This record gives sequence, C-alpha cells and structure tokens, in this order.
Amino acid sequence: MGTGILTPAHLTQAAISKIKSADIVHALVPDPLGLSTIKKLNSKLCNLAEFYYDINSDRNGENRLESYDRMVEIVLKDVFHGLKVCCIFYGHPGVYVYPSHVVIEKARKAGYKAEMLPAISAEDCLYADLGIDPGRCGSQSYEASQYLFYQHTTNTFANMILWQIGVVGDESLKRLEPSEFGLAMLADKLSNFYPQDHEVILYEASRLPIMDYRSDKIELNQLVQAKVSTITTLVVPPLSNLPINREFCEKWNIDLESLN
Amino acid sequence: MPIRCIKVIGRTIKGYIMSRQLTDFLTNLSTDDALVDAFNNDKESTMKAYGVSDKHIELVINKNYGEIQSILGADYTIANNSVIKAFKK
Ligand SMILES: C[S@@+](CC[C@H](N)C(=O)[O-])C[C@H]1O[C@@H](n2cnc3c(N)ncnc32)[C@H](O)[C@@H]1O
Repeated sequence: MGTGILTPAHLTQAAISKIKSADIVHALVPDPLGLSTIKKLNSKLCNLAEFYYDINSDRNGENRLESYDRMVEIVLKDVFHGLKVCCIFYGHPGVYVYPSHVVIEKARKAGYKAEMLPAISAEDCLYADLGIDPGRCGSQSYEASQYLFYQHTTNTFANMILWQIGVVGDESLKRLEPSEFGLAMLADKLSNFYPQDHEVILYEASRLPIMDYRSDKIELNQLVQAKVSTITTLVVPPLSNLPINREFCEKWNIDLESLN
Repeated sequence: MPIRCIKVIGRTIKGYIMSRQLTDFLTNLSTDDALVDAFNNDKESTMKAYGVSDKHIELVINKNYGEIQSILGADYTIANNSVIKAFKK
C-alpha cells in the first residue's frame, strides 16, 4: 500500500487498517512524517531504506535494481514464513515503483494472496496543485530516461509528465542524480518537438503541511541548468490546441460544430 | 521477528524521540483543520502550546524546510523506485 505524498493526510482508511493488523510492516518511505506515522500504527516496522542501493558501497547490490530485488526477497521471506505482511511505499505503491509489482507477482505465483491498495501519487498532487485536468487535452506520462532511450511518441497536443528527472540519463542505475549529460539529453530530445522558449514546469508536491509545493516555470533552454532533486517531476504543457480529426469525423458523420 | 528489524526500529525511535513534539505537531497539522486555523492565526503560540522547542519554532517560522525535514528523518535519496527498462511483472 502507499502513504501518499503527505503523510498522514494522504493515508486511506483501508491502508491504516491493513497496517494495524499486519504481523510485520516493511516500508520504503522517504518523507519526514511517514515512518513515525506508520510506527504509531504498528511497532513491528522494518525500514526497507536500510536495503536501498548505497552509492558508497556494494552492501546492497551494485545498482538500484539489485537493491530492489533484495527488498523483494526480504519481504517475501516474511510472507513465506506465514506472516501477514504489509509492504508500504510512498505515493501510490504501484505508480513508478518496481519492487511492489514484483513482490505481488511472486507472492501470488507461490500461492499466497496478495493485493495492492491504491493511494495518492505525485501525479494526483500535481493535478490539484497546478490545476491541470488530464481530461482537458490528454496526458502522457513517462519515466524520463525511458523517454530518452526508447521510441516513445511525443504528443505535443497533450500534457507530458516526466518522472525521475532527478536521475535522468543514468542507464547504470548507480547514480542518485542526473547523469553528466542527463538534463542536456532531455532538453535535446524535447527540442525536437518543442521550441527552445517553450515553458516547462519543475514540480515538487509538498511533503509537510507547512510547506508550499514547488512550481518553477522555466523555458526549455534553461532545463540544463535547472536544480532538480530525487523528487522533481517535469511537466511539459501542450504546445498547441488539439486539432480535430476531420477525416475520421466526416467518415462517421460527426457534427463538427459540437467539437469546436 | 528478525534481528535486522529490531535494529532498524531502534534507529527510528531515537530520531523520533529527539523531535517528538515537532513531529506530533506537524502530524496533527496535516489532519486537523482547527489546528491549521490556529496555526495560521498565531504560529508561535500554537507551536508553543504543543511543546515544540524554541529552536524548532524558529525553523518553522523561518521556513527552513530542508533542516526541518532532516531533523524529522526524511531521506529522499531513496525516492526513486522505478527502473528504465519496461519490466514484465
Ligand atoms: C519512484 S517514483 C515514485 C512515485 C510514487 N510512487 C508516487 O506514487 O508518486 C519517484 C518519482 O516520483 C516523483 N515524485 C515523488 N515525490 C514527488 C513529489 N513530492 N513531488 C513531485 N514529484 C514527486 C518524481 O518524479 C520522482 O522521481
């Protein structure tokens, strides 16, 4: 399950009840009020942060992926011991989270019952804070490095949300910051579709009830110098209005007046 | 329970005790609108009433969020949990 982005405000009733009733809770939660909130609900807490990739040693594996795989093993060990295990990630547990999906799949394959509870993700906060409705002109959402290195299409009529720009360009999964040319690569790729002065937004949802969210509007040509952290999300607003697909509409006799 | 968990809990408790009032105050602030109103009306006295230390009150008033988060034990080095390759579940 997930804690949402601002704990405990975003914790659902269902999540609270699962945490309380678990034999053991495993949590990978970075935010300041996350672990203390969970601990109040259940003292049998195992902090998965202890097993996160350590940039200074190979104690938790050689890269992030290896450390996630270890976390999966650690959680599964308790499942296989017959414990009722609650595994918590921040935000939505299934949104841009590798180990949660893997642990559920493996537990089910081994014959155990496993479920994922939905929660509030950074994207949900983004829609609220920035006043963006994904239904207005559509939305596309990519892991930033995956957007660079694979053949994703770019829809300039819809919003684009790029996750993990704080480690963009690092195919080794060994860095906790963008690769040397990560932001330059991102600016390069985006400039194939958007003009240099296109406004993009560096977004960080608030993690404390006393704190504002970050919404820094910059031009695409300033992206290379931008200050990004491990929780920064990049929003690329649409370039132009959504044109009507006239050919399709005419074929199906759609009243174009109602679409204008 | 496995030993490793006991060790980890020990660390968490220590961090929590050192800043318990601030943690409790902010935790309640995130779910109690009456407290939010009181806070917006008079930040200092509202925090004082909660037993938040002068040092921590100053950090809040000065909006020193970086410091507050580190006191509370935030660790955003662990924030990225997704991989680049499309993965099969
Ligand atoms: C591994 S994903 C985890 C997302 C999380 N499971 C969720 O549901 O939001 C990490 C990425 O989420 C985004 N993210 C996490 N916390 C955020 C925040 N407070 N504000 C904006 N984006 C955030 C950033 O793009 C970050 O690189």
